[in-house]
Amino acid sequence: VHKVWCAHDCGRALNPTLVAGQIEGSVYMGLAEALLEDHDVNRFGLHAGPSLLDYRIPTSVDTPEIEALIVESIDPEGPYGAKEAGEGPLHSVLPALSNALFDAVGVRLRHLPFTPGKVLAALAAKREAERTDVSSKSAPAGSRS
Amino acid sequence: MLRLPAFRVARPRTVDEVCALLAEHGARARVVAGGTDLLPNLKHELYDIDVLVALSDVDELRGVRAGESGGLSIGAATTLAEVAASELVRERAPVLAQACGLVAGPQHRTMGTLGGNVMLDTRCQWINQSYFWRQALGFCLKKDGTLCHVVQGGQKCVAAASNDSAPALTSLNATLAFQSSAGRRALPIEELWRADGIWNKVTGPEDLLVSIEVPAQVAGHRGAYGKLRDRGSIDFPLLGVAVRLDCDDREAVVDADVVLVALQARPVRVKHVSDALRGAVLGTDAFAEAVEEAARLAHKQCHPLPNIPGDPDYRRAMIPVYVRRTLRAAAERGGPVHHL
Repeated sequence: VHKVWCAHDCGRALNPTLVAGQIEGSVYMGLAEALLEDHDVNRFGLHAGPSLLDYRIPTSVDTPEIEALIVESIDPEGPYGAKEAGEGPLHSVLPALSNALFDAVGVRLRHLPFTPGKVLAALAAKREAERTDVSSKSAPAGSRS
Repeated sequence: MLRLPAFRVARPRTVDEVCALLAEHGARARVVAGGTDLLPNLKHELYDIDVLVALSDVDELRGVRAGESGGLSIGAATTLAEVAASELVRERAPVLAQACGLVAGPQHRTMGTLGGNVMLDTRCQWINQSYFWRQALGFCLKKDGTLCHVVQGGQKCVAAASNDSAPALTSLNATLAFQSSAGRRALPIEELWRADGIWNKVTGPEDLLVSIEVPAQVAGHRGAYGKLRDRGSIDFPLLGVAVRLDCDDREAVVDADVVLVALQARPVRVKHVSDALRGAVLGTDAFAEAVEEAARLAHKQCHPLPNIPGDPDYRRAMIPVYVRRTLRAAAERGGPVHHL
């Protein structure tokens, strides 16, 4: 991931610098969930990544440039017209990455994180499905008689 | 919070004093240089020791020196950061500078040493965990237990050599100088390894790695290192690829070597690589084909196990990719090969 743009409707931005910081932090968390952090439990019922070495959080070199775009819409029900800028921007990252993956290689992953190994396995499964589909279509007519 | 067990720290000033302490305490002592791997392992209760022998005051173990006739002599307690930044190493053994520059993260390389990385213990997802965690599964073959969780029913520990410097030094045909109270001996690095994850070296607890001797390489030497890992920093390798290409003055390959790590208990030298590449002139179609053949050989010969974290099928699929890219990088005097 080279760059992430995230636009968030926060109502009135009471402190725009803090709102941008909230968006950046949320994007970082969302990216971590989407690409690296794995809550896998092994066959003994133990967490497979119980330490900060095995539970991979992104380091500064793994975090791309983030462009935080504040969309202000004054909410008459909110305090001074504000909504929120906490968790909202996080959620957009996961579908955005899922769509980017689908756009790039044509596979849809259903389980986080979207690791290179899972993408590779999904591509192999897709190729296999296409192969069996083609071979069943190209079977000679009347061969089932 | 994980606590260190109780131990005494000895601070000798000479190699002879270190060896006397190791002879006295045997397996109940460990040497500590950077401690970047030893201390987490002690917190995980992987070693039962009484004494830590600190090497920080032993000046004769540090420094990179130009060896006779173009080689290198590197003190075992020289930090990885120093080796990676050394102009001498970058010029004479680029594969080693690149490998040391990709070990863990910057803070680890500032503390951690080349000798520590060479002598790194093997790693496995079932062993590098807290005592509590390991106890919950009944321990394993490597420490405190009788079962292997990687190869069910397995009688031999398959924890993986995970040191980036090992394949680099193996590709350079380095020699290691060990000292013990019985004297000094030189061991070709190829002869250091055993295929046993419990302790993958032929040396014992009384042996101290003193220096790493890299022989002079041919004039047309090229080398590069490739490292696969989940993140751009910190992580141990999911795969490490060290490459040596020795060329003549027409840039035709005379000899070649590809050594991989993070597969099994010892670094793996891919067989017949030199035969595949010999005679190919860099930059030609023949070289491109030879690189493909080397990648095929590596893929055929190497079978990652579920010993370290990471999908073994993915790690295997990446073997030809990294062998190909690292050979190309070496040919162009480039590298390292890394995703960031």
